[in-house]
Amino acid sequence: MWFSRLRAFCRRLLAPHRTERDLHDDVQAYADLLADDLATRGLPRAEANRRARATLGGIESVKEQVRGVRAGFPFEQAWRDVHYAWRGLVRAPAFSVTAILVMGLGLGVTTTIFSVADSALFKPLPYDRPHELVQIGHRLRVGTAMEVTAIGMDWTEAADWRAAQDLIHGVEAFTFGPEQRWLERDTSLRVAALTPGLPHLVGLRPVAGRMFTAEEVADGMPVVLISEGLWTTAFGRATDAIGQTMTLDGAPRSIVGVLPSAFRFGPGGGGNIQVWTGLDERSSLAQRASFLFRLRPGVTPDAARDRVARIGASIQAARPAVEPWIAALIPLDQSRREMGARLQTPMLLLLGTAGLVLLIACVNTANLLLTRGASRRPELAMRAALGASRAQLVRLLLAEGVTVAVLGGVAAVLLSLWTAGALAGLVPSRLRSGLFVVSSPVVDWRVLAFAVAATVAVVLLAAVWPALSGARVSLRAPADLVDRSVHGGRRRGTRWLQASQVALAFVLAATAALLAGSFGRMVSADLGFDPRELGSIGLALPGGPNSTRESTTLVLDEVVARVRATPGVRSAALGASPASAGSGGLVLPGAREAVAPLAIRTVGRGYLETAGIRLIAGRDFGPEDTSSAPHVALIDAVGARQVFGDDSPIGQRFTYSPYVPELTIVGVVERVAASDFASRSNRVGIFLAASQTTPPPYILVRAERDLASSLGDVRRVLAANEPGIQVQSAAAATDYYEEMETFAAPRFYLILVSVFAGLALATTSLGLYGLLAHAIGGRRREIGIRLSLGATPAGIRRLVLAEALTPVVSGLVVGGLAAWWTSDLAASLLYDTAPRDPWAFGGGALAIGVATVVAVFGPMRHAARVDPISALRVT
Amino acid sequence: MSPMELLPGTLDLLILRAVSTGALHGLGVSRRIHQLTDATFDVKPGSLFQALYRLEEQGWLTSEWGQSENNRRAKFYALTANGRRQFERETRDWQTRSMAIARALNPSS
Repeated sequence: MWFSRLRAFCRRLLAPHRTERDLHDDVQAYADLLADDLATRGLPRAEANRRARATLGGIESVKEQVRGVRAGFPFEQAWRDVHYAWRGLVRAPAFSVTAILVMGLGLGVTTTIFSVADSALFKPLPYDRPHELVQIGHRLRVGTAMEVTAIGMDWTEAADWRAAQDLIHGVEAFTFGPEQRWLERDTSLRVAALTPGLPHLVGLRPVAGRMFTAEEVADGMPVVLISEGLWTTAFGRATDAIGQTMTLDGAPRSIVGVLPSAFRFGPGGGGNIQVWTGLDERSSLAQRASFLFRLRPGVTPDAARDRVARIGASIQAARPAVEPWIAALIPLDQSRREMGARLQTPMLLLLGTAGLVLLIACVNTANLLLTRGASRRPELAMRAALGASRAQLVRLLLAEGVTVAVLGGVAAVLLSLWTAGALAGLVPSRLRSGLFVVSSPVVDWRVLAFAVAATVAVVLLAAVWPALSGARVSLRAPADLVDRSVHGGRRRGTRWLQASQVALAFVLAATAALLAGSFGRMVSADLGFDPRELGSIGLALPGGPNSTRESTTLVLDEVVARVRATPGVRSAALGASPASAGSGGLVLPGAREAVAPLAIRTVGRGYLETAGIRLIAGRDFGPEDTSSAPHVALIDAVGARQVFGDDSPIGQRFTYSPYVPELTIVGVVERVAASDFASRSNRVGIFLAASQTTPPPYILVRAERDLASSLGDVRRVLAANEPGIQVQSAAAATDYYEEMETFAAPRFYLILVSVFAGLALATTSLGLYGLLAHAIGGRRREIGIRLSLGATPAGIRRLVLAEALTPVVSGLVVGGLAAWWTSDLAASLLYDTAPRDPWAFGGGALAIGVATVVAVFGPMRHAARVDPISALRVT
Repeated sequence: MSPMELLPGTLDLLILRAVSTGALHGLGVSRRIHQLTDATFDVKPGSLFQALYRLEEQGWLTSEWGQSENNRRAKFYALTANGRRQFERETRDWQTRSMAIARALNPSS
């Protein structure tokens, strides 16, 4: 039976006019036949017709009754409501464009941020059975306070693991290489290398062309794969890209295939690779390879723990390592989850602020709808008088709200499509590689589903109450029938909404001001060293099986001496950029737990002087600190106070590894900013003597005049005199901050939150303007009366200002309280800034003030210009 | 006796009965019901048309434009095969129900 109803509905849908005409003729025929009947009984024709019509009760009425029971009536009615709402919106373009724009921006911002968060945190990995993919790590110093897991092994060990067939299904390797220059397009590309079986291992395959074969890699054939992204942007997805030649760093390479965009490796490695070359044991990049394993189906990391430990032990039995380790399986998922946990706070902050923007948009739209409903009072009262029920009036108003929300949702999706890609480009790349393990933010069905859900929520928030309120027309109140209110009373609702908008906008503005202050302090912070003309040179030493720590030290000392002798170099010392520091934990004698995290810098003699780091107490490293002498260390002043309190740290002992003898502190230096100084990690900085531990292959150089030319000179000197040493990098010491994106992430959040705050302020200002314009419109007669009774234009302007200030002031108060309570949430993102910084609150209030001034300017002028005579005229 | 209110659901049964002997137009159905029930019930046109259109959508009736007795164009409603089965079903149900109630209300039981 329902099937035939559906069929009837479809038939009606396809031929609506015919159906209506049919119905009309049918009912008309009834009336005519009845009239005929009465006429044959003797009644005059006209009377018969009238009587027939009266019996029928009105053709339209009967037709309406029939329509009410037809199949699919609710849809039909909803469609009619929407159609009517659409026509109403088209007739009021100012209202509809504003409402849709506001809604679209609010939903768009939220959807875009959701797509970012989704790609970063929620989406599952796009691989085959991702829970089987693991990396194998070496747990070092197990059971001590300094336990750490290192992921990295050599090819021999990887082969050993491969041999455990009951555990491992397969292993492949990948590594990230330096950027290479693409000659034909004059641009740099991010390059990585992989073993040919890697895509198959994770369950992906090339979207075009083919993988290179193991033979091609072994023979060193110049074949490469490009990413889908590069294929799209550089080749327009043309099939003839396969087989083309790209010249990378001077070497021609042939493109054999395209890897899908889902193929990307993130965890700490830097996704977004554009070109993949072949990798095997003999490749130049083989030393830094990372290995990915797939477990046998059915094997879980937990169940395999014992087996894994035993295999690890047997590997070490055959080839003992420097530090003993215990093998551990690290699921690919886990690194991502850890990364996600670190990014949780900033992501939540972004989602929260985006949510605030959406809330403001909802409030604004609700306000607009309320105002519109109020202005339609006469029309609605008329409908009620003609028999419309309250439910019908609500439906009518709701249709408009729903239409605005849906159109806003469509605009939002379009906005997201446009900005999601652009936003991903703005995200600093280290953040991006950690975030977008799975994929760049795209507008996929998940994001669309979110947009739909958000739109529904918006409808509930923004459209329902205005619809219910607007339908509350009373037929008895004369004001409802004719819009002639002297003092527009029923506007309390809109004022509340306006105040809440101001409150929300204030919270956003204050947050932006807070982040701005924090960022300002960050970039102007005292780094603890003198960065002028200071550069860092990274070296590749010959290495080999005969190199010992002593021989390496001798070589490096010689290199440092040669650098010092280079003209143009004021000073040089062994050590990396002061911005770079290793990690560890400070363990006091006899303790098992670390008391503080460490920032460890291994430096040679003269480093403090070269870097311009101030020695506050004690002494610097000297010639007496040989490898056989007691091991010494320097500590920074802040850390010393943190660990030792008021006691002098000089002479105190500590350690950072169970494999290193205890160190004695001999000097106190000022704190040097490591690359994570902006976060709240608060690591204690210690300096170790290069002569007493593994010397770092870095040289710090201060130039007399120009760093760039001095670095060039040093390169030439070393190339000429030290052929075994290769210069791998030479850059300004502060470049490391850029490389580690110390400032980039805070800058990104600042920009985003500022944009949101700007949107919020603009929306609030617009809402305030609309409120005032409407208020003045409703109070024109009152203004006319006041003017004719002697009020001055200035007085009228004050009146308008007072009207505006009520919601603004109450909004500021509520917003201030809200910001007070919630400011702690942003604390972890702030540098040297209290979460309740009064300057930030002041800045937020100032922003609201500016928005208010902009909003009231027009209405104030307009109100003062009201012509009393025309205002008083009774229309 | 003034016309009584139709019990809900019985209008459908009466319409099916009315057209069971042959196709009728709207007014014809109304008259037939009037005649069959001996003027006990008086069907309002609104309810009648609602029922006719509903029954047609449910598949019990089918409609066709034709000529009335005085050459007016009118829509004629007739029973479909499914409709006839439905009519027989509903008639049986109605008889069962009314007998049960009659028995219950019988003063001698």
